[in-house]
Amino acid sequence: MQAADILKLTKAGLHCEVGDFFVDPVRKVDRAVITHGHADHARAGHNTVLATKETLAVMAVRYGANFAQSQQVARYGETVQIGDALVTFKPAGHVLGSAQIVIDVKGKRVVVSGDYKRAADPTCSPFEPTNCDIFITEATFGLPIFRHPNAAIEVGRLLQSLVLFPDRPHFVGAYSLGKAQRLAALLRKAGYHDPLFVDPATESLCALYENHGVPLGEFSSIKNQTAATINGKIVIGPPSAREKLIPIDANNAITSFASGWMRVRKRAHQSNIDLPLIISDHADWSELTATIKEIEPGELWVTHGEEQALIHWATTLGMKARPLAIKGYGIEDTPSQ
Amino acid sequence: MNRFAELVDRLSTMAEPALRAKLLAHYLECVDEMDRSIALSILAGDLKLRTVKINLIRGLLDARVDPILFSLSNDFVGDVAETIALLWPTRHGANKDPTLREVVEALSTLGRSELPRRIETWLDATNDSGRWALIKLISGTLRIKTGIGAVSEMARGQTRTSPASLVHAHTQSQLFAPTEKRQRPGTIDTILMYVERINQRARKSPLRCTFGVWQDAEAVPIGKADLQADDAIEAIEKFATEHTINRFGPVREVLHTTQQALIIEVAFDSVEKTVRRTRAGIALQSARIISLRPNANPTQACTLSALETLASST
Repeated sequence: MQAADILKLTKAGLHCEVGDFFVDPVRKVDRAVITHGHADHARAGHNTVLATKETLAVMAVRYGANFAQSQQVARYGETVQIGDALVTFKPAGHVLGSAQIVIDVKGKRVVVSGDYKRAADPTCSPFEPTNCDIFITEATFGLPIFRHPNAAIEVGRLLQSLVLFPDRPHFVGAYSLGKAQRLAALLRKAGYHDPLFVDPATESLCALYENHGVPLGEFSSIKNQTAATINGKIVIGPPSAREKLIPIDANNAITSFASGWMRVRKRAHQSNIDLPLIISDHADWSELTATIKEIEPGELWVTHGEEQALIHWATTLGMKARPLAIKGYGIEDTPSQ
Repeated sequence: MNRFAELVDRLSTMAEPALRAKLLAHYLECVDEMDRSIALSILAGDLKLRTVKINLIRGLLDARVDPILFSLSNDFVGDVAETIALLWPTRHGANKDPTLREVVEALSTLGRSELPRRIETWLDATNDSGRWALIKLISGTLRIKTGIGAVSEMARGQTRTSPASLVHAHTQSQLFAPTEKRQRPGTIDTILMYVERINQRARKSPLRCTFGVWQDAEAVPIGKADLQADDAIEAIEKFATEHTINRFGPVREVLHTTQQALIIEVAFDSVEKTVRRTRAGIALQSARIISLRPNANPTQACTLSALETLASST
C-alpha cells in the first residue's frame, strides 16, 4: 500500500477505499467524514456523518436535526477505526469545531487539512501540525500577495470609523459561521461592549458558539430596529443581505466587509464597500508555506484555491506537488454569497 | 506616507462625499503643516513631481521575488505598482516611514544613482498601503478622485484656508455651492446626455452625469460630474426613467434633442483642451452640477463655439 492509494479523487470528492468513506463529499454519500460546518464542506443528505460535536451542531442548525440518518461524534485527538483505516481528528483553527482528518493505513499517513489558518483566533482551537506522507492542503489565498494583517488592527479601523462617524450605523458583511463570531470576539477584546445587531442565521450560530463555551457578549436582532436604535452601532450580517437587513430609515449606513480578498484594491472597489477590512479565516501565503515547511510532507496535494503558485513554490523546494482542483469548494469570503 | 496612504485608500472606497470630506479633514488635523500642504496639492492634482519609471522599482523587487510568483501575482492583481507593494518582503526593525515632505524633497534633490537605494529604504520602512501609495506617487500614476469640491480651493489658497474650515464645509449644500469669487469660476447651461448610478446596490445612489453642449443640432459631451444632492438625484432619475434611449451596461443615454432635453447648470474651474481625441476637443475641469432647469428650453444650452471662445480667452 502506497500513501497515494489511501485517498482517491472521485466525482463525489476524496474517497478512502479501505474505509469506504468520503472526506467533505460534494455529493450525497453513504459515509461522510466532515472537516467543518461551512456549507461547501458540510452538505445535507449523507447516510452517516462523522464530525466533531460542534460541526454536527452547526449542521443541525443549518439543515435540521435529521440532516443524516446517523451521526457520530469525533473528539480531537481520539482515533476511530473505519474498515482498515484509522481516522483521527486534529484542530484546524478555521472555525469552531473545524478539524484536519488524519488517516493512517498500514503505516502510511495522509492528512486532509480542510480549511485552516495559523493566526490567533479566540473562538476556536489552534491548528496542530501533524507529520505525514501526504498533506492535502487548501490554497484559498495561495499567492504571495496575500499577507493578512493582524485582525486586531483591522477591527481597530472599524472602531475608529465609529468614532469618526458616530451618527451612522456600520454594517459589516461577514460570513455567518466563523467570521461573524471571530469579529464579535475581537470587538469584545478591543473593549467594545455595545450590543451587536445580527440577522437570525448569524444569531443562532452565535448562540451555538456561546453554548459551546465561547463568550461573545450581547447580541440583538436587527429585526424591527430603526435608525434611532442602530445609529453609531455595529450590524453584522451576510454581505449580500445588507439591503434586506438595514432599516429603510438607516439607509445611510456605512458598509464594511471583512474578507481576505479585500487586500486587493480591484476586489475592494468592485464590491462597493466603504470600509474594507482584511480579516480571513484562511491561511495566508506565509501561513501556508510555513505550515508546509513545518510538516515536511513527502507529497503535497492542493484541494482548491490559487494553487498554481503554491505548487510552483513547493516544486522549487524539491517537493512533489499536485493540484486536485476539487469543484464546489471555496464559497466563503465572496461578497455575492 | 502610511497615514497619507490610508487616507487615499479610504477616499477611494468611501461612497458619500460628505464622509470623504470628513476623512480628509481628520487627516489634515493629524499631520504637520508641510505634509498638509503637500497632501492637498497631490489630491488636487497640482503637484508636479519628477517621476521614476515603474521598471526601476520593479527591478528592486526582482532580486527578492521568484519571477514566476511575480507574474502569477500580477495576473491576479492587475496593476504592477500594487503587485510590487503587496509582494515587497516586510523587514523587521526598519526605519520610520518617510513623511510626504521627505519623499518630495528627495525626489527633487537626489541624483540618479542615489535614488534607487533611497526608494528601497522607503519601501522597507512603509507598510503595505504606504508602499502602494509611494510607488503610485513617485511613478506618477496616483490618481485620486476626491469628489470634494473644496480640495482645489484649499490647495490653492492654503495660507488662508485652515483645515478646520473643511470640517464645516462638508455638508452637501456647501460642497455644491459656487466656489469663492477669487476663483472666478464659469457656469454654463448644459444638456444632460448620460446617467450612471455610481453605487448599483444603494436604493438612492449618487449619479454620474455626462453633459454636453450643442454643435449645430447635436449634443457633444464636454464633461462629467457626480451628483449627491437628494432632490436633484430624484429629478434626474425621473427624467432618465422616462427618457432612456440607450443602455451601455450601467450607463443610460437619455433623450437629448433640441425639442426635448434636461438642462443642467454646471460650474467649472476652467475649460481645457483634451489630450485624447474627443468629439468636442475641450472639456470642463472640476465640473460640478449647480442646479437643474427642468423648465428651460433645450436650445438655451451653451454651444460648442461659445465654449471654445471661452477656452481660448483663459
